Amino acid sequence: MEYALQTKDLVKVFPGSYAVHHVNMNIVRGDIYGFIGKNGAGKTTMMRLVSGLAKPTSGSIEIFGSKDLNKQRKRMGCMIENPGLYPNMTAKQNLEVFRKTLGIAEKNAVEEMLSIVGLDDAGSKKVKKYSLGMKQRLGIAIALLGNPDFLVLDEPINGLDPEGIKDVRNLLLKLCREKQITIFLSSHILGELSKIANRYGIIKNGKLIDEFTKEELDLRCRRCLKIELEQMGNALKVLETDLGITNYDVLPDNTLRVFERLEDAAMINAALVRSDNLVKSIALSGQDLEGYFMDMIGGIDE
Amino acid sequence: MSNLLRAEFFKLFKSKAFFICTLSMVGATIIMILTYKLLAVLYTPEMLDALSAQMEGSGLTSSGSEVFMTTYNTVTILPLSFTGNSFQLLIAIFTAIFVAGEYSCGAMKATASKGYSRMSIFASKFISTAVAADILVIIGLISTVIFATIIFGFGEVPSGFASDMALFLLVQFVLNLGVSSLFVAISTLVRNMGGCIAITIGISSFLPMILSLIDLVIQKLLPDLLLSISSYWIVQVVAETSTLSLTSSLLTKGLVTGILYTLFSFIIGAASFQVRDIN
Repeated sequence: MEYALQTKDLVKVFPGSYAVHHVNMNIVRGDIYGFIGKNGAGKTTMMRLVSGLAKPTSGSIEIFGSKDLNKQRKRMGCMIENPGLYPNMTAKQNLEVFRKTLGIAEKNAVEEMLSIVGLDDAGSKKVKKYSLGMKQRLGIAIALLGNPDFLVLDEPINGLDPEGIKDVRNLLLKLCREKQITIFLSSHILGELSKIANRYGIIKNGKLIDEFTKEELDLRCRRCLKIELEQMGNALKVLETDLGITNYDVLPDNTLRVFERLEDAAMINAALVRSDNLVKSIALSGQDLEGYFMDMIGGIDE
Repeated sequence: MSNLLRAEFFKLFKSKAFFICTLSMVGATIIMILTYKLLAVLYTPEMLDALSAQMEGSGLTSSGSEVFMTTYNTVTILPLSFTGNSFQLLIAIFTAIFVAGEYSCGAMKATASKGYSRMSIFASKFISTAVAADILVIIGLISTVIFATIIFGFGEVPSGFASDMALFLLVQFVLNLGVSSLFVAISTLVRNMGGCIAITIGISSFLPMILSLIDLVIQKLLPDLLLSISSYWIVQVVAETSTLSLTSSLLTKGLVTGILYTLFSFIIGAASFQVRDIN
């Protein structure tokens, strides 16, 4: 498996706190990696470390399997926090600055990028007159200059209208599909993130607490009867033998998830109780992806 | 590095601040020449001598006798262009906007994430700012020549003028390189446009006074020590060396001061840029 990004025990300490705490992150080449966390969890710091804006306190970063980060970062396009733009210049001039910075010979690259992000009609307008959404699009255009292999986008759909969000989503999906660009992005609009990403990482208090694929997430979000028992006892026998339920799984904390006969909660409860299994709770569970993320991030706080 | 420089010069020539500072430089030059015209019209030679002596005596100017001379023309006014600190102030303000402005608008992040070494990014900024400062000075000099010639005439060219002028310009360019370097370092350390402009004005207004106070304290505590810190303040050295009759010691002092300010500023600025995170 080829990785676009691998970090090993990456640490960034700010006075008095860990912003990034021994993070081992793996982003497979070609993936769209959705990075999730509350404000201040360490998402932006992690992205700043990857893009070279911040220096790690310890640990290592490999980009495309290499530790020569400056060389590999030439293959990256980044937009961290807010798009870094020159307000007194036009969009074209802003792109021109970065076209020159990257040494891109093709002058039409500027027009091409403006067209890709839907700003072709506003290219001659000064950036200070742009709306937040337009600035975001221009920031993405700058990140896309030079046909990067790896995009790092921090909250790229912030401030975009619904149409803009859809455009950016389609653009990112297209880039990933057609050009095999790896995308590492964070967003607070989790519903939107779930439409784009195929792998996720959740960060909390600087620690990467979970990494999973879209398929794993779908599985975790399936609707089920979640039954919390005092002890496991003979509950599995009751389910299989007495009730004929085979589609279930067992979680470590004496919890069962039953994926069939969801309408028979009362009957299942009664059968378990009759067999001396003390049921602490039984509830229909399952949510959309956003709900799952919120539970995961919020739940871990307690 | 060449790509970074190309981008820096593109930004420089698209920079509104650069053109405003250039116009201000021309404006400052015109005001300076009109002031001399006013002096020439209003004051008799005797009054100018008395005023000059009074100002030198009170320490208000280090080159009073040259400011209040009786014959004004391009040849005599040209060296005086550097005596006031308007050139240095404009260089400092432009540097604050050009360098610290990159941090304020976040553009430095976009540049720093493009895979260039921190040293090349800082060096390209350093070089482009030095070139901008030189352009400002050249425009100041050209406008001095034009307006002084229009108002007073060029004047008689003394013997050895070309070589004296070459040495004078060399010292002034080295010193102005020191000035721009100093303010690049300050902008890199402060990283905030408003803060940098405030510090620039503060330095221009209060540093000479603070240095003079330090001199007084040193003289009081160590009367045998012949040290005057204020005489090494770069703007003071610029004023001191604003003459076509540069002695070898003044020439050396000007060159060494300019080079040392440039070197120290580069080292401090580069070290800070290398080590600190970019926000």
